[in-house]
Amino acid sequence: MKNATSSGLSDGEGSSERRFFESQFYRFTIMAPLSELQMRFWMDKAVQWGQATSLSAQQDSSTTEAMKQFPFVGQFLGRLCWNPYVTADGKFMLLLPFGGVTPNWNGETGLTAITYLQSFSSEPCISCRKLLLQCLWLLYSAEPQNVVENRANAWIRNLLCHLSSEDEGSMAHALEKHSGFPPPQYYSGCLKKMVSLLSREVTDSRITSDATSESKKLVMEDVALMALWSLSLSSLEQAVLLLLERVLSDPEIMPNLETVVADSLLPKASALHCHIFLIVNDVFSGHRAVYELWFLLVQCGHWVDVAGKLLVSVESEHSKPLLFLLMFYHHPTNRGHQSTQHNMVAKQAWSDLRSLFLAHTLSPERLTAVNKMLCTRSANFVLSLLLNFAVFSQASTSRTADVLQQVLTDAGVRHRAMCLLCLMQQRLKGEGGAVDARFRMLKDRLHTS
Amino acid sequence: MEAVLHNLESTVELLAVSQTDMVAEWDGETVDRAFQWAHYCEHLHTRFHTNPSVRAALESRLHETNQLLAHAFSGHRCVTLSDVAQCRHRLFTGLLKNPATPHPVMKLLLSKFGLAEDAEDGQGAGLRSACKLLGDFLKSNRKCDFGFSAGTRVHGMMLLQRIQALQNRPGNQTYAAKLLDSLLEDSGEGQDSFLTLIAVALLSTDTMTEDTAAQEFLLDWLKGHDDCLHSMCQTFPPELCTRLSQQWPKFRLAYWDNLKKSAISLEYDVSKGLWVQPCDGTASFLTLVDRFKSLWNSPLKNETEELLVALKQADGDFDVEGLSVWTDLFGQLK
Repeated sequence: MKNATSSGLSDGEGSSERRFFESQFYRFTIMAPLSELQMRFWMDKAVQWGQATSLSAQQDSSTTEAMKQFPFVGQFLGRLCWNPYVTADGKFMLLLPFGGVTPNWNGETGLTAITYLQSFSSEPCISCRKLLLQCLWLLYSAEPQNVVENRANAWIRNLLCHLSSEDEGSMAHALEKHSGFPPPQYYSGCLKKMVSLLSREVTDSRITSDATSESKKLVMEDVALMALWSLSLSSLEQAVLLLLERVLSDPEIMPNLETVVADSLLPKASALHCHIFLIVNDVFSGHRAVYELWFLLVQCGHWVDVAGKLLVSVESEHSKPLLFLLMFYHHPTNRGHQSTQHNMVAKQAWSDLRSLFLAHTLSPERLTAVNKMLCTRSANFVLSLLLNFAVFSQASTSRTADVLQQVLTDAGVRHRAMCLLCLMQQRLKGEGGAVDARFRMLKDRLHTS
Repeated sequence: MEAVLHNLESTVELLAVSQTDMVAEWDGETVDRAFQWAHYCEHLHTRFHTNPSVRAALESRLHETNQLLAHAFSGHRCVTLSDVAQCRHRLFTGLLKNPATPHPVMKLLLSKFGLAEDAEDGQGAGLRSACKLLGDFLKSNRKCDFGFSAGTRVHGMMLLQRIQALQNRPGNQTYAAKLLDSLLEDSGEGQDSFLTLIAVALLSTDTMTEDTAAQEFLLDWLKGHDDCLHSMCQTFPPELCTRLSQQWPKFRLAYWDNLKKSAISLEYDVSKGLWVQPCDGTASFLTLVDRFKSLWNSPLKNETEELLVALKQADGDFDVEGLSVWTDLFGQLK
């Protein structure tokens, strides 16, 4: 028996059975005093165990007896063997975040299954499959005495075969058989692919489905998604990058920026899990400009708007502080010489734009100047000023359209103009029909040009 | 090399014996040795299966040994090279299924299977269950996935990966084609699940690089298996065929060819005023309309229109119903 002893079964089988009887014994003593007959039974057992010289002699009851006492035990264990929740084992706990993924499940079944699985995860050393195998092994007769025991043995061998590989005659079996790897290695490969596929789907749908659309194919618990991010760094990075990509590529998103950001669940996850915050922050810092812009626009955009709007109507003597404010917003780190240079650019841009929108004739020199400035480091500042003039000045529709067409010649600049315009429109919601009509006209022009 | 082949031969013999009554004599030590030899053979497979010349030698020795064993043991199950890759698993299931396996050996197997902490086969079972569980979770609603489950899509990726591994070394085309043949043969349930697997693999976006060699290989294999290609064109939903046609010009040609054949075989029933099928195995007029409509509503619209116009013109360019099937099909689309 040397091999059996070193094989992991060791003395477990006999003693586990003994433990079972011990627990029964305690139950009896607690519930009711033992009858003399029961006392005699347990005494005999104790004597038998004491005299036992081999493991099989410690077997207390035969399979036949067990089947008589629990007629459904076979069916019960059999059903469990066919249940992947049970056979997936404790290692499956790592994948729990996917618990709520399925659309065929409603929240309730998903939750039940998760609770069920979690009940095992609290004791990670006990795996469902191991327990099941132990139960099956207890029903296996070392020396079958009759037809029932022979049949039970054959049945157990079949179940073990079922647990070890796919049933023949299925695509899954054919793939397993011709995979060129031992099954554990093959399924490990499958599982890796499965997890990456599912995390991609989960992340994609979380970021791309907006709250109102019918695309509710993935109903994933917030907690589960955050758990996934805690476990899988690549999923988290992907979520952050997808959010950035989405915000940067779609100008129409600007009005709903705050909702989109909140829906991504990243702020919530960052608030709850320090390490998620650090990683998200890291990714955003890699895109510093974007982050700052994003942050400022969300947090304190209103004073920039007011300054921009006032600059359209104020006289020269009042323009200086407003221009400074707007410039500071776009270039917060400027100091000294650079600052002076920027202020000159600001002044020049303002006077050029004023002339383009308000003078009787359109100056070609000024048009060229603004067009050039839109390709310098101050482009964002000039663009924002330009759009303020386009929206708020008294210039006619045709003049405004004319100016835009001649200065926004670069496709990239036009795209940025569209983004800014959407943002302005969002902030000015409820300002009235005239402004709304103006926005519609400007957007049309930007689209068609 | 001869020593290696001899070891392989002995292990295959060992596998055969493990399925006979002789196993009653085995003890734990025998089983351990047997598993060690099986493990050795798995290494052989890993090391040499993409090497055409060594593989040929291994396969030929397997063939000889199988023939001898078939004489010696009735009901001997041939051991293929794929089996060699899973030699321990074959040994394991062979012993499990064998009623003559003695009790202590069974116990040892069970410990290998799942009761021991490091039980390898047990891990395999757990991983497989986890795959199954996750695989059914997500039936995507997105149109581009055609409702394929995550499990099916992963199967497609695994198939591509296997073919790519073979393609990385020259001289493996025939072996890869044989692999597909075996998959088709063993897939059961008619051809449906196999054909679905091919479709999923063709639409898979898992390929890390732009490398589509494995997918091109699948298409070439299909070309040599007319019945499979025909079934795909006939049984897949129109949208799936359209999507495949969009992505793979080779498939598109076959699909169009199939549609053409079906259309040409239709006959016009003057009394009913309908196009009818003279025989089964081709598509009905209404089915053809559906299939062409799907192509028409895809980015393939222009190509489809050109094709139909050309066919209509070749058929006499009639504008009256009931004379040319192309005129009537075209009429349904506009």
